[in-house]
Amino acid sequence: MGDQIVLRVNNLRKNYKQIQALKGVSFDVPQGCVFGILGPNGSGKTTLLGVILDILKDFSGSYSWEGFSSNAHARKKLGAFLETPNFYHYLSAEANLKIVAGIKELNHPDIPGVLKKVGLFDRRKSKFSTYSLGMKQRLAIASSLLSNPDIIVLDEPTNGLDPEGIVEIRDLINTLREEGKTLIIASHLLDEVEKVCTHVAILKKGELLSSGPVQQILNQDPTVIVSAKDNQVLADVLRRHPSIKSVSMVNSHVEASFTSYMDPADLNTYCFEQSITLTHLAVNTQRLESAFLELIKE
Amino acid sequence: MKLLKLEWYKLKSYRTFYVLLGLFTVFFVLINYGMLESQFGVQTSGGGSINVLSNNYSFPEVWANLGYYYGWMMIFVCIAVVISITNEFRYRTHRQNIIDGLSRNDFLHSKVWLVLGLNVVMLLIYLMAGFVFGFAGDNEFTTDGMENVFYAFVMGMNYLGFSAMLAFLLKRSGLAITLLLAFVVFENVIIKLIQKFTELDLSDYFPLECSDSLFEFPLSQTTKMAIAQGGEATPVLTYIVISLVYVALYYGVVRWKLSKADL
Repeated sequence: MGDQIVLRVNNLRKNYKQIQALKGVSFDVPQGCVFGILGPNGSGKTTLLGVILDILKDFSGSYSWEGFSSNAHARKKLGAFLETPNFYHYLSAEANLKIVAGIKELNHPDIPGVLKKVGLFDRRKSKFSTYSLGMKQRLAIASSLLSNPDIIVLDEPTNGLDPEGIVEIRDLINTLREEGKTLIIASHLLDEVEKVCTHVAILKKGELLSSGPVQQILNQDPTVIVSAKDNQVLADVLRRHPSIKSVSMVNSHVEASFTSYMDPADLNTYCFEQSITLTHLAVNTQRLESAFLELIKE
Repeated sequence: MKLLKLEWYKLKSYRTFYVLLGLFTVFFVLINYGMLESQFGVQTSGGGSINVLSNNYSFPEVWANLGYYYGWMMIFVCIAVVISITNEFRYRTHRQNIIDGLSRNDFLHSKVWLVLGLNVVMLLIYLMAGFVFGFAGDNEFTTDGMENVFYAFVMGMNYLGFSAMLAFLLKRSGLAITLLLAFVVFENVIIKLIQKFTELDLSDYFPLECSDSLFEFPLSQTTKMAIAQGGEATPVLTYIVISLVYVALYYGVVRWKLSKADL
């Protein structure tokens, strides 16, 4: 994953009459990451994607797709879909993808290839209106892969898919990530995001609660469980740490929490410098679900 | 041309589109053939009968006669334009087209190409019908009267552009088609009502009426002489300019709306 940024979002605000759908959202999306936009229904995920895909107007703040001459040029190069899959109902999958290829000005689009990738090749001549919800979703994913884009934006990509389909999409996302592609995925399914995302932005009622690497979000307020030969001395040393939030003795361990992300290696070094050799060190990592619930509860 | 190709991809397998174009062609030819073969006579005081409507489909009158009914039958193609635009809103493909990389103006211009393309197709049918009727008539071919082909083009742009604007503004085919038909039927009633209450004759300035006026009601020569009216007729150029101003207005309204709207 490089340090290069592919998308900068700066203080985005969007109102629908009296409702503030986005309240000054800012974040950067690094190249090569799987960036999850998380939030309960109505948190502003789709509004955010709508703004950066030029579907929604009348917003304040700014966004920029880095490395493109214009936003329309960026959209031509990236693969994206928003909410429900949108295709011409009276046309076949193949004909629909020809239109996408026409818009993206692709000279030799690999339509059979992307249809095979999502398991729709055998139904390529069928009209879109005859597809099940899961097949429609697959076609939307095929469409977003058509230009072999470096950046892919997916809104609830596993909507309507059965468990097998969900696993397939997850594998596909991992494959794309291994190919070095950047994926921006909006979802309310925490388990799904935790399994595939490297970075997340958490939204609640249009407000960005947190954003950054998943591990950092999970460990924002972690409990570190440590022990040493003399736990009392260890507790005193920990109380002097500049980022300490709380220290408590639990059975034969000391539990400490910090005001910011604490790398276990740094903590070990700190204790060693204070002449304490740790005999036990464990970070009580949260699941994304609990971190998320805690964040949106606040 | 890329945008025209895109529209072609969207419509080439769409049956309704062909049905509507077919209806235009069939009814346009049939109504004119019917006029050619029919006599709409009235009794004169001398006990004879004169034909009220023109059934002169020889060169050069054929172009003006065809043009009048061309305006009527164009409604089928207007409906095709409405449906092709409202389908985008119905299937939300207008959003996907933008997401895939069209700018909002590209999207609008793809529909401008559609209107232009359909207008050219209609004109070709008009020309073919003109030549078939004309060569079957009594006179030799002459280029006289062929200015009507240009008038038909202007009228086509006005009708199809008006339909496209309604489709963009209303987004639903049922509503847009109903309003289109209502306007076509009641435009004259509105003009007459305004005339009655304000004594202003605005018939030259109404959106579709200004183009309708490019083609006179096809009365027979005898009838024309019998009811010859005084007063100066509005120059054709006025109708053309007003029609083209309306076309520009439709374009401007839709462009403005698209640039502001959440899709």
